Amino acid sequence: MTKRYGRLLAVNDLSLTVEEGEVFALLGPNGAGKTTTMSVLMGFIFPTVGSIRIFGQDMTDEGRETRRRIGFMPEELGLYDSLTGYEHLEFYGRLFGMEKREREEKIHDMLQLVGLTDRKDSLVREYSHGMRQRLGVAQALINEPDLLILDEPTSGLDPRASHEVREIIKSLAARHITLILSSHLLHEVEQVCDTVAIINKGKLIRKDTIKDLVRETRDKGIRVSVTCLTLNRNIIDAVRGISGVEHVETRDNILTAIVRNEELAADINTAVVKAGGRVVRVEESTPDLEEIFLQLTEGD
Amino acid sequence: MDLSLSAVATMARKEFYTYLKTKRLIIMGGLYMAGFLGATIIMCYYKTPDVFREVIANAHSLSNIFYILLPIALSYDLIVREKSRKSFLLLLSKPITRTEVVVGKFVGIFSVICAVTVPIATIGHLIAAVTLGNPGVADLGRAYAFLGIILLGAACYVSLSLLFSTTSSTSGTALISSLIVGWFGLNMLYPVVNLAYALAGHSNGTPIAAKAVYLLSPSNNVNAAMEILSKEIMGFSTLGPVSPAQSIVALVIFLGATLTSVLWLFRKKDL
Repeated sequence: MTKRYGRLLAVNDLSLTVEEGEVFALLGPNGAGKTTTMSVLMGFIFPTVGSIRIFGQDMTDEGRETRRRIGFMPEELGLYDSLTGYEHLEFYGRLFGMEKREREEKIHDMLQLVGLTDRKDSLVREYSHGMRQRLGVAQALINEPDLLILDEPTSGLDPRASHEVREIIKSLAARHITLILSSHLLHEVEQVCDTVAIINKGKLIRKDTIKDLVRETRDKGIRVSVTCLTLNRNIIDAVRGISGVEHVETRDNILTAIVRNEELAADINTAVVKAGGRVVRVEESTPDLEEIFLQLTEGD
Repeated sequence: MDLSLSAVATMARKEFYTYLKTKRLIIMGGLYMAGFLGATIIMCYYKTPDVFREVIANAHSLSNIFYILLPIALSYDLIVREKSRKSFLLLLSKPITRTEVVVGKFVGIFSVICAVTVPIATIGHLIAAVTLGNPGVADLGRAYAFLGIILLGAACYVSLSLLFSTTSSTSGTALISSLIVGWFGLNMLYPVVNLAYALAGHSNGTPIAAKAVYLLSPSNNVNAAMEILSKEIMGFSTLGPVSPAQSIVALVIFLGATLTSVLWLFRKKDL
């Protein structure tokens, strides 16, 4: 799928498949084309070239039956300020064709899930940003979707509200529904998703499982950081002399070595002490998604 | 075309209850009530000679501005506001098509207009009937037939405003476009064309081109259709160069053409 806005190429020949039951993340920096991709996915904007199919149906058509099985939460929640939280859910419930009793039960359950029962009769204009976001989650789930699409679900939230929304998402992921999440927050994706597609400047850079990505980068080496009171040439040469140490760099009083074997951390510690260094701390770190992301987008 | 009446009704219901609480409706509705009922009461007090039909025709004629401004005021930002505040993204992620959204909004706003005008007009009709004596079923029928034409004209202004709401990028632009074109532009075409013919030395009757531009304005068509109530309005005998039947046909075509344009444009629009 390609989407152009005049001369601006927002999404460039993106081709992706998300399997049923997968918890999938679309990851990229701001302006990478995530929201454009989500908007094409939902049929809000039309692709310049290509198409998107959900449950086998082309989403550039109106796709009423497909939408019955989808829950969507956009990055910018366009809620109606003059309606209450309850009225929002009632309106959306009606659009799904729910009978009164079923609708009332669903609304009750959703309000409880997102913790808005006490504020259900307040106008949305009186809601905090976190409460609006939680109402966004509730409206996305009111139809018990088979596919849930969340575009930057924790965008603009304070840490506490982000945590709350993330916990809700984790509980949804545990229910084995298909979940597509777009985010620029790497730790969020790492906590929630199985598979990630990294896009930058509208292009797909990599699609893989998070486990495989981490394993692949780990194969390139483990990072051991030693913090000393003072660092000198002898200490650096002593560490470089250890068999299995591939790369050594220093910054301030921290010596960082890339090694193949986790056990070499102890050898490095011993070598530093023997060379006269006074060790304050030794840390071993495996690459996280942030490092992988930076490696993959390097040069872009 | 796949059109679910339940989805349209849900959309219309939401618009109806939302707009029923808005300040603009309360202000415009209040002014209309004061204008229409005030005019009716004053004219009943002076008992104009042609009694019931004349009074009702004059009261509607004096309230003409509300039949243009009320629909425009309620519908100029129906599309553009939802687009700018991104509420379409939530709405269209649900099982409702773009066509149903537009039709639902149109029905909702038209219902609000009916909910305001029909009861107020009915009170006016009753005041006139009671004050001036029993008007008879035929006269009451004519009064409501004319009210129906007024509402058809209002529906035309709703769909015209929806058109500008779809094509404009801001609510301000949509309002200005609706007012300039709907209120001023379409009404000015007829006198301008007539003047041009007069300056060219044409003096025999109304030229076809002038009639054609006259029929383009919903407001003109409503005025012309007033003939079914009374030919003599406020002492002026010229209601327009077209018959009520031609006016009604023109209103229906106008409504169909503008609403179809809105549906076509909105279906193709990136949100």
